Amino acid sequence: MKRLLLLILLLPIFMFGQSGEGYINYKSYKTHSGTGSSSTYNGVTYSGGANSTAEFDAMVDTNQPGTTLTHSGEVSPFGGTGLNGGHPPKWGGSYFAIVYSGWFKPNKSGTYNIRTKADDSSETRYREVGTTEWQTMTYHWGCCSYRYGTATLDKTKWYEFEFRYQEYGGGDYYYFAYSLPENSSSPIYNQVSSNHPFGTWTNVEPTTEETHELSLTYELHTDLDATKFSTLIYYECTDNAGGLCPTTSTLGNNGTVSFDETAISTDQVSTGTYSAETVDGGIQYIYVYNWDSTNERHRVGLDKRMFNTFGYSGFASGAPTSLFQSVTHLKFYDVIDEDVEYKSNGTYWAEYWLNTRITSDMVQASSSTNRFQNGSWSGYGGVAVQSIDFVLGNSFAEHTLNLSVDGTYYNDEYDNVITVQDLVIAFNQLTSGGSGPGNSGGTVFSTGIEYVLGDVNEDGSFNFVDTQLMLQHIYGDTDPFADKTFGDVVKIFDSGYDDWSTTNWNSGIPNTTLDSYTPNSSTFEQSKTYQVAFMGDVNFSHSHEPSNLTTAAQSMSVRYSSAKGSSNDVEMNMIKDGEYLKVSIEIPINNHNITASQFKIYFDSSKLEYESSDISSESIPSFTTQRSKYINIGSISQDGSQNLNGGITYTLNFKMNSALNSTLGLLGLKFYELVNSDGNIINLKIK
Amino acid sequence: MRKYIVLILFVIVSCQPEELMIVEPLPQYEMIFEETESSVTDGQEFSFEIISEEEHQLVISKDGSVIAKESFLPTLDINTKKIYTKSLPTDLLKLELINSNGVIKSTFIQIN
Repeated sequence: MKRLLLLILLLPIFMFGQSGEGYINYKSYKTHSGTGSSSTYNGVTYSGGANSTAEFDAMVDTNQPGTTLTHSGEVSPFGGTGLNGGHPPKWGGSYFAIVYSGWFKPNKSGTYNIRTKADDSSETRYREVGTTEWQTMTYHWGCCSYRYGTATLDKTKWYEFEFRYQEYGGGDYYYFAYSLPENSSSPIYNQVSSNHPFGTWTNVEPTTEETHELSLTYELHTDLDATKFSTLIYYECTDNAGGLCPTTSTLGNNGTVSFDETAISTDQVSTGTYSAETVDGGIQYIYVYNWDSTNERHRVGLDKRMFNTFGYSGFASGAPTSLFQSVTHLKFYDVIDEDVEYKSNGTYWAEYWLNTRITSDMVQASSSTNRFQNGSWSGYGGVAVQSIDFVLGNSFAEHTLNLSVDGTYYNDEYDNVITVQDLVIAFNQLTSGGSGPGNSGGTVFSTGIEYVLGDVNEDGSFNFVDTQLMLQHIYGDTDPFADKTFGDVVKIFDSGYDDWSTTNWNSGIPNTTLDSYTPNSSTFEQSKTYQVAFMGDVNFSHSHEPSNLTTAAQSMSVRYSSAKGSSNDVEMNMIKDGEYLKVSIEIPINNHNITASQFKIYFDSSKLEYESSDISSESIPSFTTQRSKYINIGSISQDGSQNLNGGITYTLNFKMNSALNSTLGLLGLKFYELVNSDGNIINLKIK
Repeated sequence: MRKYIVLILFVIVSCQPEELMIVEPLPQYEMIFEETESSVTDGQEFSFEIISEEEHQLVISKDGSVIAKESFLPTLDINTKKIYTKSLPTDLLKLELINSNGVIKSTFIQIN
């Protein structure tokens, strides 16, 4: 009874097998008639070990009198019956050949190093699904040593494979090993196994239906954490009836993100325009003027009665001009299948321009009318068609892409986007000669993008109004950029970033963090790359640096200077004095020609209240500005004529709201910058 | 009969409440410098041992540049202080205990 039950349980396995992922096919042949003798069929002979692909083909050709298919079935690629041994069922210990076949999809894209070892001759080959020519990974006409090769593979694609070896006498085996693309310079081979599967293996032919994919890359400044950024993709997804389909994805560490078809649906929506397509017949409804070689166009007229299909009568009486304008394409028999441009409409005809010449040897049918004319309908200026179908145009829905960022992260980072170095560089640009302040006045900027970012009020002109705003942002009583959102201050460029014009820089500037994308029906996999920049950030402390940047003062802002210790280090002290907590920052006497300094002292406003500041020297204009989370203190000589070589001490006084035994961390110097007259950062440590 | 008396005695003795000893809990200190790295939150207390009464400093820095300091006169043995994090960068920072001889203890703190 138990045996019967077991048989019932196992029956489905015997009946239906286990085909699919995790299995590959094998065929096992008795060769050389099982005795070592040669075989000939149709003039092709094999003997001994295979010495070519053709001889191997013959060896596994069952038309050969010496070859018999003895076993076939499926095995796991990972075990001894598969590619890690080469021993599926076979007729005997000599004179056999094994052919493994199926499909694989690799786990990674790139160039794999392949290593095989077989006894005796072997061939390891593959081809991309849809192609016909085998690519050889390795082969060996002989026995027993490692054979090495490569295979350049795409992890999104399926490949058909045929791995085969034959045994004439003695030992017999086949082993397949690979090294991942990232180790190509120094391969590390893994024998294929369940722990090192290489990819997905199957003995069921995979479907290769293509899907849309959009890959985005946002080139951010390398110091920014790309994972704090997200991109939203959305589109009107209900055929112009309203409703949005949004999908949001966080960027990867390298600023990339991919959307598959579930996010970028290929649903078509109406374009609202029509293609006018002729239907054969005997009534003239179209005329086409001869080619106008001066303006390079045909003039085409459509009989307005054809527009009565939209509910009008007569010559489309009462139809709005917009109806005639909505025809943007003309399909006229098999001679015209082109876009047209609306020209005008009169009493009887709606006219269009066709900018593609129908044929260079078109015969003018009537010298009097200078247009095509049906001969059997002389006197009428038209070509006979039965009717015109107005086919509503469709297209894939346009998708909107929008880059966004974590709010807290943005607030922290934007605090330090525009600093005294930006200000000094911007001032230097405006005061460094040339034709005067404005679009191309200075000699400091080396790229068009610097002008774009320097034009903080986005009026198309970079001038002292912009530097005044930047200056106010740093130490004005009110910050003109206080209400700016991420979308206001960040721009994403999809082209031209690395060679933006320095003279015509104010044209073609992207408006926001938005862009649009329409799935392309022929190019299924599409990609876009954006460069991300912050307005005002002319020193590129937070913006992607254009490759053509040669501006000398391009060093990044240093939040935490790592300069080697020197006697010129800046001394900072935080002292509790009764109910007050004081922080003093002393720039010692030096020879660095520092013309601008900026220190941001963040304070815990729940425990401290800012009261006052003291600045030890009036040799250079200085500032103290209270912002919600920090006090901004420093000095700047706008024309670079004064510096801090004589040293200076800045002191800030805070009152504690209650008696505190500990004060560590109530104040934090989270940002500082020291800049010389050339706009270069002076790397001094805080000690 | 004796068996019953013994049984009753057993019951009586076993039902008497135990005398509970009240154990004074030992103070728990977060000896921050004994760890190579700690995650700290705003207002968190931490302790360290001091062996001289001279002025000491607690210094928070990143890449060799100071971000925050506190100078204080310690008591001998265990000292307990608080750290406030709202004004510190979200980062892995170095915390050092310094006296006139230089850095005497050091660790890393992760500000979240």
